[in-house]
Amino acid sequence: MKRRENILRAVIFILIIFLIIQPKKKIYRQRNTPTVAVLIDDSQSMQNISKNNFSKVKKKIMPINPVFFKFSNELKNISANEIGKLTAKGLRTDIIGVLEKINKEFLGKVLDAVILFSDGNQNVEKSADEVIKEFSKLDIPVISVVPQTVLSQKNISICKIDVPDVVFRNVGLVLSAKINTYGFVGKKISIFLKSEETVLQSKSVNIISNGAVEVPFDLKPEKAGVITYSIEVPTYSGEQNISDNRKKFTLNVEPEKIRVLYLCGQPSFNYSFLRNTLKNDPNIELVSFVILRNPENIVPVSDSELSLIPFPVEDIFSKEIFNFDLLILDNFNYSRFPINYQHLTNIKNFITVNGKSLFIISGEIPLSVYQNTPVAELLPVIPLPEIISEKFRLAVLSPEHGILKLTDDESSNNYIWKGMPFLAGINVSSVAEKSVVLAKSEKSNYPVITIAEKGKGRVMCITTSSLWRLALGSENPYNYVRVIGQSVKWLTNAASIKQVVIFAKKSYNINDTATLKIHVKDEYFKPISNAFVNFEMTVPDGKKERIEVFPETESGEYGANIELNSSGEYKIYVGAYDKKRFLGSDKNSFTVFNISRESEDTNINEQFMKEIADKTAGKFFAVDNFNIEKSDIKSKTKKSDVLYEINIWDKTPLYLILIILFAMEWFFRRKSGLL
Amino acid sequence: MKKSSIWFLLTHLLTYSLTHCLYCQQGGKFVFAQLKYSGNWDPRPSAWDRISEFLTMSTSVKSIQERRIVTISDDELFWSPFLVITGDSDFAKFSDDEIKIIIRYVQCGGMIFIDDSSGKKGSGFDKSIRDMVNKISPENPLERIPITDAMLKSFYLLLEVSGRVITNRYFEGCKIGERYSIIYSQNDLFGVWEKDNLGNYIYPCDEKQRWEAKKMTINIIMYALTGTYKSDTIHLPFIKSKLK
Repeated sequence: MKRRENILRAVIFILIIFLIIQPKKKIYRQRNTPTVAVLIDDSQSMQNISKNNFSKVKKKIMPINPVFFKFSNELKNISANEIGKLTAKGLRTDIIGVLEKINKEFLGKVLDAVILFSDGNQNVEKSADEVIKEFSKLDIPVISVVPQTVLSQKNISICKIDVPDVVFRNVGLVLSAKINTYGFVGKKISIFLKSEETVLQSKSVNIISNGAVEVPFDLKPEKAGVITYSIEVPTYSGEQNISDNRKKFTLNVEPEKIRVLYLCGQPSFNYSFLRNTLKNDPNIELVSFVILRNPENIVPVSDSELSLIPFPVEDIFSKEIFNFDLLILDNFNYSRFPINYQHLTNIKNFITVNGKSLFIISGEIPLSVYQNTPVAELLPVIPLPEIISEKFRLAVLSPEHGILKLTDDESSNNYIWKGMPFLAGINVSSVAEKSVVLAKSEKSNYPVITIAEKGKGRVMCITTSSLWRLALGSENPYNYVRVIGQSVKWLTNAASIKQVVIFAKKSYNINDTATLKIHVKDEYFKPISNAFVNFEMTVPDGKKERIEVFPETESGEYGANIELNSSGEYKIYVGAYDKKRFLGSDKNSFTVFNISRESEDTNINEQFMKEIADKTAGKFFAVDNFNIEKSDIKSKTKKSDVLYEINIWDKTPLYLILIILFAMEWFFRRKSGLL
Repeated sequence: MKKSSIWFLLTHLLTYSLTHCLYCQQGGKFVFAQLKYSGNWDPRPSAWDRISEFLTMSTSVKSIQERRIVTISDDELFWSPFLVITGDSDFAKFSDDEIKIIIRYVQCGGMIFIDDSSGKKGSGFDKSIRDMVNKISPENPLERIPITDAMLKSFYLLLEVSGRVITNRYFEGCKIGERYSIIYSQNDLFGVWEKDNLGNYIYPCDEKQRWEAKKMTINIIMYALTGTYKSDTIHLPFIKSKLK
């Protein structure tokens, strides 16, 4: 009796285990012919070479009865009959994307090989290495077949130069020039990187095969601003076209940190607040000198007991000044120091010729001390020697200006400015020609904040030494921080200190996808990842589009991909908010040229096609030499298709049997009086 | 119009004119503001007169000669980013609203220098001040200011702190950002400046110690006006060679 129950229980236990793991029986179908996918590139760059070549490929492959696909930037299954009718109209070539798709979506067919027929002109920006590496692990060789060119002219052309989207001064970068060569195999060619006519770097390349070769250059821009460079290859004998031996490109070089030189005539609260604000800004590198003692001051100790250092007039005004982006003169009376006319001329040149900036503040010393000096020509105001000690509120004339814009909403901004605390003391002045008064004294109407563009540079003038009251006298001290930050930003015209910045390339080709990056930071330049980003784009026909933008990383980076289907100028505006607090905005624009990527480069990229073949253990052929026999495609009989699977465990009778067994076991136990 | 209304208007007009006048004097000058509170708030009433004289003589700082006496609720408090609190005995606790005003003052860039004139450890003033500072700056409590801090080299190169008495060989401070926004001395720093009408020092003190305390006072004012300027890289080699 006990033995019977034990057997019954063991059977139930085994049945339950089987129900849990559900083993299956697979029935395999054995195959003898390999399964091959043929990928035919029908992008526009194949236009000149397609018709005969498509048929040639078909003819040579038909014996193995492959599965055909056509592709440009999308992959589509076609029948063998459609190959003859194929026209090369695809707008982009995405070989990498197609291999990735074959890997992910067609693996059910357990491919034995892929035959890739293309000119190798990958023009959708993707990282090839990773995809090819992943593909090579699948043990599926890619047989690369390139078409025979109609035109096989001897030529060297610079077809593409890749540069990073954001470039900073004194920070090294690598740019890559893609150079196509035909008819120069075995030769050594020189490539130069130039800035205007100065050769910055030269490289020599041994040409191993026809097609594209990537040449990297290391560059460290020493100046900020828009700088034009060029990549050049000398003209070699027999070249059919020499106009494509030179390609220009521009880099918008941002200063890595804004270098500020702050000279202050005497210690003051204004100095304390301004220095502290600049010092706390991570985007600013500050060097400041404040005059702590004048010759008339008597200190009853030796110099060694004082912390004073000599004021290096000659060094600053002859050499060092040119290493800075912004000069601040605060209550600074140049006539008390051995500052000569040439030094003042250097300040003028620093602004007007070198395109740098000046922030000048009057305090105890009226700005009229600069009368009849080169600095006077820079001032946006005509100052009088008079300083009146009136108490006044600021009347803001241009609240929408980047310097004074504290919030995106116009009425809120006006409200904030109206509620700003009183200031005191003003250097009487009138507005100079071509200058803009941003704020004046509400009481006396004298200009208080004035700006002007002088030559290549910018100047800002503040005629009161009590601007610090915007911090101490205000409910929100950050308004002062913002005004100062925005002033520095405007003066130096720098994107790197903006709280909200759009990074975009300056030009694209039609049908490209623009990948735009937006960086959002708070007042302390800490990245904000949960900001609301309002992204508006004006397309070439003038229509405005609103685009949804989402955070991409934890570090305050937001991104948007935009399909560029029409040529012309695109304007972008981005405003960012942290809850309801306005963080800032940025504008940018780029041009889309009506030149498709396909027509930009019609040469065959043998090197890329060889690389794919080599890394996947495949073979490389030109279409005329292509022979399916030489391709070494073998069917993997071990990995045959699953014909069908037997799974008895999802059948209803099995559950019935289990219930019956349980019932029997229960019955026997009851009968034995074990319950 | 009633007599009381006229009186009210005149009083307000006078107050407005006086405060307006004070603001007008300010310009870019240093203002010595001292807090008046319910306690012995002014044990060293003539210190600023002497400090002001010495400051103008030895440095390029331009200051307003009259000290500005303010209460916490005065708007004038926010016209001076440097506030002095002195005392020698305990005082009534500040109300929550008053504490909020002081917090705002410090957060908006103001600096407070506190001097315990009693010159005694654990004095009533010390207890009241520590209680107040704990409320103002709970996140950045009082800590010892190291002798390497910019405060000790903002004008004179000092190797130690001084005062009328040396209660502590250090000052304490609450560091907000990169500088100390609250500085606390228990050494009766202002006591070394006090003179009678005949020009004699009121409080006896070793002359060398008195001189060091005077230099320290100037350094604190310079620190309020220049912050950590003397910690800038450009000064370091000069200061290092001078200290040798």
